[in-house]
Amino acid sequence: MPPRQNDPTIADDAVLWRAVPELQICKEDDGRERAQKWAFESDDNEVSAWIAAETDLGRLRARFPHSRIAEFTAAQARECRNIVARDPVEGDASHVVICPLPGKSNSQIKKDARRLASKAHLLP
Amino acid sequence: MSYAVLERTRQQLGEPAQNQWSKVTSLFAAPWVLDALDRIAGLARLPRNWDGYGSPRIDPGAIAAARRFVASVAFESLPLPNVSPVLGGSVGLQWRYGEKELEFTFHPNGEVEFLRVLGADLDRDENMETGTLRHEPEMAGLKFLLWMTGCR
Repeated sequence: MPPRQNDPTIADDAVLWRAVPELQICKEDDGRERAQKWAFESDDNEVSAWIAAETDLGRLRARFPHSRIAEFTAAQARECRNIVARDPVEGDASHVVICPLPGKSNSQIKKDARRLASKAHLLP
Repeated sequence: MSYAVLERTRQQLGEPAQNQWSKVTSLFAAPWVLDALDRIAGLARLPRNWDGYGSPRIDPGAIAAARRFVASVAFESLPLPNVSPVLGGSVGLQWRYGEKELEFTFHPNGEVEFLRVLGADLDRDENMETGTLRHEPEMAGLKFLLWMTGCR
């Protein structure tokens, strides 16, 4: 399969949602909850997310019953040295994958996952 | 040998314990330890696909390694770590102490990865460090935890 390409039709201000297992949520010192780094990692370096404007929050919650929804923008994902690419699955055109820029080291991938975890905020 | 015996011996020798090691040796009764061990053991009950993304069940070897690690770094000045399942059957432990943060990932293949956060500004690359604890992960992890709590 050819390498993923960043999709410029996904605007920087596009809001993305990712389901985060409740067991991968921690509390900051100020009491704010946030996703942990592990919630933004993937075995194949393709982290699933959904374009909020093209999907339904209730449907996503129903699909991931033991998860919270983390919200972030495509720009925030890209600031963390990732590309955002469409990846329609099972007829769901809102599905995208967040992948590291080509050549990014494993160490950098982990650091950037931690960064993105901090930038994302959990929906109530 | 129990801690009580060790403590009596130390007193008999009349040698004051060094500050950082007194914190280490007093930890065997640290109240957070049993809670952490229970939480780690509880990960074994998670079903396959616990995350909705197709992850396998948490690996028993990863659970055992994480529990050994906790038992070996169980000193009182540490807070209870966040215990998390990690994709691929791994176990994650995360401690936060002020602006500092330490995260260990115990993989089914025995590898232990760490992420160390040294400052609040995560956009500065130098504020984060990652790596693998290749030899004696308990000892290396203990050094990191002592760094985090300011004991060294």
